[in-house]
Amino acid sequence: MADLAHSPVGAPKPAATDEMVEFGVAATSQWRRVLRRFLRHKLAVCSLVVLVILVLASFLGGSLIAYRYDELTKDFSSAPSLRHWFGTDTIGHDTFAQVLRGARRSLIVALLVAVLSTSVGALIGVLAGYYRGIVDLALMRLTDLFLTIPSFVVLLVVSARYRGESGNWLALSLVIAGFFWMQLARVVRGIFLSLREREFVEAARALGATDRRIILRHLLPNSLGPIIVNATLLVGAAIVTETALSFLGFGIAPPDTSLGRLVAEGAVASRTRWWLFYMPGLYLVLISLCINFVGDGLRDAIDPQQNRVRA
Amino acid sequence: MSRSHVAEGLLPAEGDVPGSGDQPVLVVENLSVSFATPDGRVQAVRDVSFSVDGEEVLGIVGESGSGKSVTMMAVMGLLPKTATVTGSVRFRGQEILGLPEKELRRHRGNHVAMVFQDPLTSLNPVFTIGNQIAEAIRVHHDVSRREAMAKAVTLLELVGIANAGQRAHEYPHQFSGGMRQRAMIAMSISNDPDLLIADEPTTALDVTIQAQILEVLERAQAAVHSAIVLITHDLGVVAGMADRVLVMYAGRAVELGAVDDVFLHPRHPYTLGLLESLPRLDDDGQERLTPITGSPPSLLHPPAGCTFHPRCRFVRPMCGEVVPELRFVGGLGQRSACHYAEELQAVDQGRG
Amino acid sequence: MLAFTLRRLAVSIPVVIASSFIVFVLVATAGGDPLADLRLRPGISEGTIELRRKQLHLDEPVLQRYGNWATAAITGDLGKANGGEEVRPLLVRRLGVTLRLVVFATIIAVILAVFIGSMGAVKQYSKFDYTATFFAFVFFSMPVFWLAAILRDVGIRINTRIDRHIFFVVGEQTPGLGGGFLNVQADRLGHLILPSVTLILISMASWSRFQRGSMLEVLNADYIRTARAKGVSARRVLFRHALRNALIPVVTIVAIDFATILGGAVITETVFGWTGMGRLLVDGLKASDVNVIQAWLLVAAVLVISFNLAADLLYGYLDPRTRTT
Repeated sequence: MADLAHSPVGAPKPAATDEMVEFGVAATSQWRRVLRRFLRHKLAVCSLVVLVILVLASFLGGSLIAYRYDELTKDFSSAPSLRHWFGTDTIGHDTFAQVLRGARRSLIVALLVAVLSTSVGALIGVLAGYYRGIVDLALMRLTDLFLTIPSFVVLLVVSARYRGESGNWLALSLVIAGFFWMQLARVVRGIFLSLREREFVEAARALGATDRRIILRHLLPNSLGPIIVNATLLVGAAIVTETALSFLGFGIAPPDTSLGRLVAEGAVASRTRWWLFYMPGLYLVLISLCINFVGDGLRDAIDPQQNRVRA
Repeated sequence: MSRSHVAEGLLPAEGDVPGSGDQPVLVVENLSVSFATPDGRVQAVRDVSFSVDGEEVLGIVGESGSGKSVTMMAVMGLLPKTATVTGSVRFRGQEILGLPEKELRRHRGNHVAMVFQDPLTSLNPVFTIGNQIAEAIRVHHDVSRREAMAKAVTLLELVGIANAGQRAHEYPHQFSGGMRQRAMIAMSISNDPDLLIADEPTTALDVTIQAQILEVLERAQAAVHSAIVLITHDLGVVAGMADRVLVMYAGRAVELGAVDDVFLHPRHPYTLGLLESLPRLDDDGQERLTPITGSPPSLLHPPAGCTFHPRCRFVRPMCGEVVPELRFVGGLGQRSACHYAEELQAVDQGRG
Repeated sequence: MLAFTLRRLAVSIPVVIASSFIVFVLVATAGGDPLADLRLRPGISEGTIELRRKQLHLDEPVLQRYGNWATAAITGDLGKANGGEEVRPLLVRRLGVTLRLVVFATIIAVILAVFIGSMGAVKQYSKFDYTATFFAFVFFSMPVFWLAAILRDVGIRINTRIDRHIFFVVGEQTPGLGGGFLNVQADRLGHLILPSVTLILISMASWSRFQRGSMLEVLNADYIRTARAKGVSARRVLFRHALRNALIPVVTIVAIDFATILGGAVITETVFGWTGMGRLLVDGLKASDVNVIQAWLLVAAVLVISFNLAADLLYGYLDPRTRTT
């Protein structure tokens, strides 16, 4: 129990799925079962629908709505209306257009962080769990060390270097990803440690399969569920982190913008022009809430036994 | 919770059953337990009746899912709220079913105590062994912490734990599996119960320890003069320890009688099947073991008629239509729920 | 228990060293130019900049710089800030302010989370459980800065509406307030409310879910059935047998999350205009004040590790199995 970190998925999956991996048909039916269980989870399905709408709007936004983000309309500081759903700022920018643009940047950073940190976390977890011994010891001490560092603060410090540089979103994503891989590494390691002793792995080894093949064909597919769940939740965590950095002035720099920057700018005027503060924030919370509900639904669907202890 | 009281007269007197003392400690009549699940209603126990006399050992035998543990949880009043229970469970004449929780609590651990299957998970890891035994005493008796602890040490000595005074202050993880089960037995007899329910007490233990634990159980019984209900799927354990045996299958009682009668002259095909699937020491190795074919029925949709008929090698048309009663067969109180119980006499001869 | 404590203490020392080293290198290599701020100031001569460079040992290799810095840090010398003042007293003053917020919020959040989570488990699938779950998700998904800013906004609105100053939204205390010790403490408590609520709601969200899961698992455990079979009352089963076991994994989570709370405190302090560690860091970062940043991170690392140590000890107290191994 001492290892019970914030793992959203925790321990390895039930044994029933093990032998299905080699056989395409069985594996397909397993994923079909996951899908069926996920579809039963109404809140998660609704969240997925809302999330897809929000994401599509963010990426296609510019062509869907009447105003461009840099367009100066004739309405100054107008409250939300049918014309300007999220109102306008003092010089006439349409807030909805601004929010969509900010959300696009925030989402890109979050997705990038999720992909990068998932890859790093999975790799470290695979190496530690498969090769055990000294490799495991070294990698896990490193992981523990990273867990004791107050990551948000260190992120602030490191991203301070790129403060104010336009087009720093790529660097920002890399830096955030550098502090987001630890949890997945521990989860994957745990799964690998328990799976590598199982009969089907022994059998593959006895048949002369290489490490590479055993990892890719036998072990990784079995860890896919937890990895997907973790990656989903990471998108949510990353979007919150990026916006927090931007809010403090250490994230996305102008002329680029993100939801965090919009909230920071809106916060100054929250009493007189509340929409400038609340609308970007609501959009942000809605995205993050939907991601968390979807992640939770996925976890229940992939691993019904494991839905007890979770954050 | 609805209850249908059955007049006592309907049940034959138990006086002629071997091992019976004076008044029965426990009388279970027409007990049925079912659970509502998302997939439908699971009928875990159906219409089970039996009784346990003072200082008698009753073995309840059946595979997992046969309803033997659920039956005894009903006796303890420990069924979850989702369970629907009908019938009657009387302990020393007092009806247990439907008692308010407060009175059930006075009954649990005091008059009826239980020893569970897995001593590792059944003891609380964060309290010392002595502490947990003392708690059982203090729940039911107004004694000081010190007195309770002293009694706990005495009990630990009784069940054969060396250096009990010191070991009472140790935690469960510092005990071996056998030791933990001894501690569980010590805990169960701490309030001199009239009935001890042992649910698979040896299943989780090494074979070498099993005999010791059964011996400790007998010693504990002798010390407090209680009756024992021994739930197990191990026929060997029953043969060695029980006076009478109740065989359960898919929630129903299928055979009941003195151990010698049932083992030598089984009157239900399921019992016969169980016995034949056992390796016998006196066997010359010529005879083959005969496993029971098929698999246990679904409790969601149990087969009509006799629940065993889909697996029964003597099956006849009536078996799939009429539910057989648990009725007397033979003279010595042996009862069987098979329409054709008498015909199994022929098999007796065959088995020699 | 003493041996256990000493062993854990011994383990945490190398962790502090390793952690401080990683952080030092990160700041030295990835942080901004420590002299940039100085260069931008008018009327600063090349000589002054050169002096500062020497003072910060910027001309030496990183490893050597770490050695110098660490040796000085052990003796309590954390160097001078860009402005020329000693870092240590500055840090100590700010730390007091921030610890007040963090410790207060953590304690309240743990108590509430344990209560709500346990209730949710005991009354699983009840209205209470669903409501608690929903709000846990909402606050779990909410960025600290937004929640803090909302609470601040709402506080101001309420103050304006009823035309009385009931919510303090700026600073950690009213400057220059007299009226004795009690008056000052009451004023501090008033200022503490909104920032604490921010941190409490956010950390409570995940902890209560964790407590709920842990409690559900424990309530299904065999030893709970044993306790009930002994005739122990439902209340006693819950509080004595179940709660203690359910707390064990939660202790670990709270300890791990302490670093996150510290980050949350930085944000919360910024929103509510506190002059605590948060302001110190943000200002230090904007001025690339290396000594301040390094000292800040060292203190943070020591705090996080001490907190983990305390959690370890609590864990050992709660779970006898960990004591002997």
